[in-house]
Amino acid sequence: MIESKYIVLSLCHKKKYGLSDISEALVGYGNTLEKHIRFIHVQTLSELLAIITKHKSKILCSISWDNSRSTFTKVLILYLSRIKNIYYYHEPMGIRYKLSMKASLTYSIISSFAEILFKIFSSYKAVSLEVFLNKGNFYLPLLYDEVRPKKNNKNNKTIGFVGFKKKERLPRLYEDVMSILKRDGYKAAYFPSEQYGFTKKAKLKFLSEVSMVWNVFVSPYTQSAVTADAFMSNTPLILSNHEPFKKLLKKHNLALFVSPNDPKEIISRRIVKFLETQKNPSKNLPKDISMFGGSEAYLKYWQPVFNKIFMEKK
Amino acid sequence: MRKIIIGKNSNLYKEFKKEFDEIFDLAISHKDLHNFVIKKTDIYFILSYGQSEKEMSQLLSEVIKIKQNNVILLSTTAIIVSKYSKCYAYPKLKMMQENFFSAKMSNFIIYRVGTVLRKNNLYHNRGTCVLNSDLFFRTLKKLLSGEFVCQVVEEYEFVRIEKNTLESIIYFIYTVTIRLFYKFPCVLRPIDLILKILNYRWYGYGALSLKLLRENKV
Repeated sequence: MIESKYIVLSLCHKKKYGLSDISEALVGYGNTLEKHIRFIHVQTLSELLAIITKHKSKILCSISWDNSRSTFTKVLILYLSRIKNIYYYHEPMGIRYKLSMKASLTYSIISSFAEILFKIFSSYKAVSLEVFLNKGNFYLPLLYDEVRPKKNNKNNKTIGFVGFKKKERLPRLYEDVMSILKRDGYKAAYFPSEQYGFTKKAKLKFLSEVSMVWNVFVSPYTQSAVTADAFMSNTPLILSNHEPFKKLLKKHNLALFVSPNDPKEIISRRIVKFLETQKNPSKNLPKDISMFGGSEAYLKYWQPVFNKIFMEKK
Repeated sequence: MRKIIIGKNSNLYKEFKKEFDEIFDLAISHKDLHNFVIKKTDIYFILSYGQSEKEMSQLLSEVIKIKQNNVILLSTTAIIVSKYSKCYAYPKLKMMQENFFSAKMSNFIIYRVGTVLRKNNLYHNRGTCVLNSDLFFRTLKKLLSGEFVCQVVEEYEFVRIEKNTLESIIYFIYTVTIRLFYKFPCVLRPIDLILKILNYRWYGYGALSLKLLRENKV
């Protein structure tokens, strides 16, 4: 058992909103489920320096969530202080994957280089899908808050778009489909926005209110926090066949799969039909949600990793 | 319940008449629809398409008569090309047909396929989207007995060009070039002509659609 003196740092740049939510979720689960470790969400360099100065010997390890320069500086400081870091390796498929996501060549080269630096100065690599275990030391599923506002989306006929309007998420197609759906009384809704807010609380409220969430990708991707967040809120999604959690979402009747090459009219008709004939999610949904990115996932995957690092430190 | 083909003069029907006749009760031309007695329970499989926009509009004005029936429209995987360019007539016309179905028909399936060929002829269309006729008829039977919800079913395969041959080198250069000009593929039309003379079948939308589909491959 880990002694009470230990601290785990969760490092994330404050402007990486999606990852900050995940970092905060880890801190939340850790502080609730671990008796002898204190989890701290660290955003600024001054926060980190203050913790290192006061409690260096108590720090068990850290987890770095993003590839920003500020997080890299923190990882470097931790490395020089001989504190182990787990680098969360979001995109282990290399530069080709980044280019296939329509990222620019410059961005792809710079971010691949940043990944190499993070890997050099980190003790472990964690991946978000079990299939990538050969590229990392641990499989650690991303965590999301389990406590969510009650569903309140009956007859509100809103299809939500969460996150930035990146090309690979086909915002133009979304707009075209919505212009057809308007005839049937449906409306488009964007988060973050002036209307729906910018905070995590506002996001959870948004997810509980929309009828469906749009997350159609044009090319394969490792994992989308939008899918996970909507699933945790029990909100159905419109997805492409590239979705890695296809099986799970199908099992709970929470997904409509469309192809970006389908005519817009067909996509809109299928959305209407899906919502009209939507079946109830299966009884196992709460358990699957918890295992997917909630407390069960923490206990099954994250806790043993901290125990292992503790044993090594001892 | 009658199963009826619309497109008895199409090359596909002529090539696979025996197989089609085993599944369908009747084959008519779209021109016959004018005087044809349509029953509510009829299921239609549409092979016909117009050779020009005018012809296509005429065809669609006939097809609207079976709006309430269960219908399967045969379409092409090459349609992906027309999302980016209007250079090629065939994908453009098929797109027009698909859009019409999506907007006007009630119970339909769009069945997008590569060029349907017998197994031993697949290599003829190497480097493009093809479909083994055995698989085509198996899926068709399944679709005919299934539910007619508006949806797109896509099926294709591809046969590689033999490696380290002159053709494979030309194919590689051509596909890289056409991918660069995928929004303006007509600039390669003069080269297409030379490839046609060389008796290659993969030039134009054949190679481009395969390239685009493989990039988005699920």
